[in-house]
Amino acid sequence: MTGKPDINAFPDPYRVLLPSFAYLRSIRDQTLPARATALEDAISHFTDAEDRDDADYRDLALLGLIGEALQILEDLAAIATEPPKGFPAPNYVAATMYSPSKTTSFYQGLKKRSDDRILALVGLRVPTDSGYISLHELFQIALAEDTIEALREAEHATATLLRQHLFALASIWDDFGGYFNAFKHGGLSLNRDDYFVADDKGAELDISPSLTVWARRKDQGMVLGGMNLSPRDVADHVTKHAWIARALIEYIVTTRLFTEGLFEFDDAGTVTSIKSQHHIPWVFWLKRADVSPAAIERLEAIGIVFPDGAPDGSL
Amino acid sequence: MQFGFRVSHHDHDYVESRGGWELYTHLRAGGKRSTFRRHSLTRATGLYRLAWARDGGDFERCGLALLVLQRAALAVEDLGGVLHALAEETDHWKRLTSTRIPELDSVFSEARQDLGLSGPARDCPTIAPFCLGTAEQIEGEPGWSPAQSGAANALADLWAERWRKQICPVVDFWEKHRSAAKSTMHGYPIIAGRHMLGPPPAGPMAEHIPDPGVPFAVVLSTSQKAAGGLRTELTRVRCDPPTVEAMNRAGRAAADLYRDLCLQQARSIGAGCAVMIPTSMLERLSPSQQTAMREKIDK
Repeated sequence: MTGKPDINAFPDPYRVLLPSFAYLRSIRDQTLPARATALEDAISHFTDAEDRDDADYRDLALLGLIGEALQILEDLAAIATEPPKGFPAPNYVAATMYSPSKTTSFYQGLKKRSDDRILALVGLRVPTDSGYISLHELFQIALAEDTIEALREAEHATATLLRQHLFALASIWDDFGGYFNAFKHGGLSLNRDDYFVADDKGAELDISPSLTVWARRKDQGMVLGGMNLSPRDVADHVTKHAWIARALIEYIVTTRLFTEGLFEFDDAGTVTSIKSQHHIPWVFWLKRADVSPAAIERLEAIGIVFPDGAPDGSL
Repeated sequence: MQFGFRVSHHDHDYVESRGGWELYTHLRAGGKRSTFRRHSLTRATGLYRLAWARDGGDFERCGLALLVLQRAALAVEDLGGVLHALAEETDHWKRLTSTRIPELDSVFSEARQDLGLSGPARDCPTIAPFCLGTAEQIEGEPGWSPAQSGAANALADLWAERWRKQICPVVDFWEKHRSAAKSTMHGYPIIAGRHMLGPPPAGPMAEHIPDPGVPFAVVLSTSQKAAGGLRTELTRVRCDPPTVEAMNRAGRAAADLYRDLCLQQARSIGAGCAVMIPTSMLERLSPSQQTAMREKIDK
């Protein structure tokens, strides 16, 4: 049992880790609170708009709410990058590279991601040349076999819950991405005075869509419209998922920032010492029902705390 | 199911020649869109002012400054999109719904050139889509006396000059903040000023960022270099009240210009008249010009 990470396997602390830590701290301290305030403001703006006798204005406020919500999903796709080999820090360079298809590729690619790759996003597994290893393996901390088995259970339960959340977010991105684009690029909602919903033969139907927008970069005249939910239902649905996305970002930041504690830097950013890591601050996000009582007992024995669960059983 | 449109007009072909029904219905709602953007921006600015007044700390102040920046940018992009759409004779709707950043750059670059022109504002390409027409068009209008044409031209000049002045802060905003504004909507690759400077600093990138002495944020934009490798560009955004109030002014100006542009276009298409001059600055004309114009309006 060494607990001492191999410095030679690390990315350069000054050139790679310090910018990455600054990026993550900024998300924690500045971005997430600002996104939360913006989302709350958009919810409040939409609620105010519901009281106005102006459905077009309410549509724009709903579009604004969708915009604020989906921005958080886009933030998640940006930050959820694979860590560099051999270290569970963030890859800040990849996070700052923009590509128009990045977010859609992230959500569409989730189905193909193994548990290892899902757990790597949240810093619980680390890629190496020969696959993925867990944190106790990275830091060469000797543990009893039943503890390792309990950690595996907790990792698997975390991957299961994360996959569930990420798939739900992928569905939101798929359903509302077009509305998000319409919001950002011109506020392309349709004018309710000017359109109606018709059947296939052109006869007008007594249907009021929750929201309709012009599609961006599509054939002339293509419209996206939601028929099944009320505007309030849409608002609640996207808001709920925006908070999940925010919680996921917070989780990623927390888990990946733990490596900060390994280093001591002087004021100029030079590493002055590297600490041994005998106690890994594992942070799992799981449903209690997905972990056996024996595993919970083993994990508690190594200092992992299980707080009272959320209503859905997640911890 | 399908969507149908029920916008009435006396001349279908005329609407098509001016960009089509999709564009017409979109322009008709420009006033509401402008109001919404303005309200959103006002709300964000209010949150920022509150955070500043109660000393919410640099993180809160900067986060909200970037929210003001983003909401102002949305209003600016609305305006740029319509200007881009109308800059060519054809494909207005396709251009509006597919506008990209380089095209917005072109729009505001052209507007910058217009701001440097010494001639009448009405001659500027950026002002042309506002449907004020040329002096020759107004003078050639049948049934108008020379006094009436002169008054109409004077009124059109007042509007053109007003709109040219209004676009100035919008162009400044785009030139200063386009990169940061885009980043707030694409994954937020932004480092807080306090975390950039540390201690510890954010590595080598902090060497290129002098402390401006006010709260700030730094936008990172990484791209592939043509010669291989990666390059991360750093853009510093000041988040102090003068800078944020300027963002707010630019966003409001953009929303107002957008409203005027959309409504001018929509009224012009709706009436089937290429030239439309709003009468709400009539009182700024000379008494004789006002009289001449009122005679025409009353008829």
